[in-house]
Amino acid sequence: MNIFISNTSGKSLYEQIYEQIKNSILDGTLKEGEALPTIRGLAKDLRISVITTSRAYSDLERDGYIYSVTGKGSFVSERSREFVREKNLTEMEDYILKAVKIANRCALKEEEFIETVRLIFRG
Amino acid sequence: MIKKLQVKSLFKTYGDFELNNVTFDVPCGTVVGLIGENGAGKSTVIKSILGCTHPDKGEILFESKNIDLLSDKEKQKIAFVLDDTGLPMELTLSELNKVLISIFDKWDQGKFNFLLGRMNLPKDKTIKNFSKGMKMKAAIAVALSYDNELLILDEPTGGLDPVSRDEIIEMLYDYIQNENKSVLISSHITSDLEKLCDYIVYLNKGKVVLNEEKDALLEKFVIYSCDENDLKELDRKKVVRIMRRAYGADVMQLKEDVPERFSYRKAGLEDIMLFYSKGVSL
Amino acid sequence: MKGLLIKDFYNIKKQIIWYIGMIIIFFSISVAVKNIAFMVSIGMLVTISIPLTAIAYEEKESWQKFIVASGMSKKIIVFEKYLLGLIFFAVSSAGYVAVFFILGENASSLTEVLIPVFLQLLILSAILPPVFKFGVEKARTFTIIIVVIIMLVLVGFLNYALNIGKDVEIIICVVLSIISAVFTALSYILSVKIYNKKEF
Repeated sequence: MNIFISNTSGKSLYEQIYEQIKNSILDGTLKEGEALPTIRGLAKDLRISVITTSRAYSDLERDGYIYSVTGKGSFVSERSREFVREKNLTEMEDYILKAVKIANRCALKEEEFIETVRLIFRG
Repeated sequence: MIKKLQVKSLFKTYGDFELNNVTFDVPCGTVVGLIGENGAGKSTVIKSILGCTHPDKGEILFESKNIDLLSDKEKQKIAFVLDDTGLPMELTLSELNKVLISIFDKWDQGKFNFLLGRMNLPKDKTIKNFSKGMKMKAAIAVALSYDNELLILDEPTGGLDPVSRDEIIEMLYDYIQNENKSVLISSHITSDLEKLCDYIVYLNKGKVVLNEEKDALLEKFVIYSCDENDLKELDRKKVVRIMRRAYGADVMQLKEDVPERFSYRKAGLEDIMLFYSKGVSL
Repeated sequence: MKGLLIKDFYNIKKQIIWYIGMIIIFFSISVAVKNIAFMVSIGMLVTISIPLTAIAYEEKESWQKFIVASGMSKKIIVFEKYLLGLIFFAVSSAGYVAVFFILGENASSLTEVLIPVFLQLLILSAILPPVFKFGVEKARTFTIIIVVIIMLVLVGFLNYALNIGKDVEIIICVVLSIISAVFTALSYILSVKIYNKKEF
């Protein structure tokens, strides 16, 4: 897994870390049960403060992506593939919703929209 | 959160300088940055903690115990890096090692030698022939070569080149890999601290102006530009500081208080310091 | 304590070697010309100069701030400087006694040997407290004045003592040794008090 942070992005540092680890879990880069970098190790690697990193981790834990074992570190939650699929579907729906809004803006017909999707889907 | 160090209502006057009711904590396992201009009182605060100066009033607690009551061994739990290092200049580092074995109870020769190797510091050259960066790295190697719990650094990166600064920051990150260790670091170069610190204490003319979690502080203030007419319309109470320029003025304000028509940018630590020291209230 | 002494020996290594060389040279001159005065003057200089040189270096490199911050007891920090003086006091005194035995009683009296022995101690005790208080540089004038006063008083006293014969000589030496010891102890206590209030 790679994590990059940007100082010019509008998002705060902890949000950037949260997003990137979440995405790595959802796309399978981080496997179930896999150990995450330690909070202090990641802080050192990214040259950010410990509190920033631990805030990202506690949010990931709150949202069920990871769990922590005192003295051992943090791990990717071991859950059914369903959960990950669910999360991915929700994310996909969000994007479709946005796409539909834009389609409505230029008065695209439903068939035309689906046709576009089909073309993209088939590559 | 457990407090490693507590500074309570410190007062100290000499000449026209004063520390005025300085209060802050270093929570266990965190890095606290003490920032402020030169002469703001950072060194006096640090010297008070280290017992090198005697405050007129106030109290300093280490692990809830008054520092004046600590035994010699307990005091060695507080490591330090002084702005002028304090190392004996005529000694080589291998001679210094022999001296420090009998001074620090838990001195670790192996660790010292390892750190010197890692930082490419020569063992047989007298310290007076070191560059400023090498002296500072040697002083940090000393502080990291015995078992301690709180590391206090006074301007460790002042006057150093970016490469040396980075090596020092790297060592500090190594130190805090152990979550029981805490750091208090003073500096007027805030770019280094923006990365490392969990909390920021901003000292201005001997007073604590801000004492906050760094992430929150960096989201707190914003800066925008306006002209004299705009200034008249601003809510005086909500403007933190303004700085007038020849062709306009810059305003620093809490993010949520900014009138909608202005586009703003976030204030960094340096901006905040600049506005508090050079800016005026409206 | 041990660390502090080792540090001083490393730090002013060159000066120590130089001073010991001078002691050897002046010792030889004293023996050659059968006059203890040469050995006495260099001995006095060494005993006083070495602690002052060590302190001057510490002030320059702010080692005192370092060692206070390290949590070392201030009593020990101060004591080490007295000890450093006492070590060279012992070296110089051994030199006087050696010259005395080589030359024999005809060339110099016991008083002539013992007076400078105590004189070193008195001067050292008189100058260390102001040096701790004001620093080596600022206390310099004061140091010179003290040295001159103590020398004058004791030389006058010595002349007087030499005129009163051998029996009294021993009593005077005993009294002087007690005075020197008490004076050194008081000086140490005063220096610790000064050091406790000092800011670094």
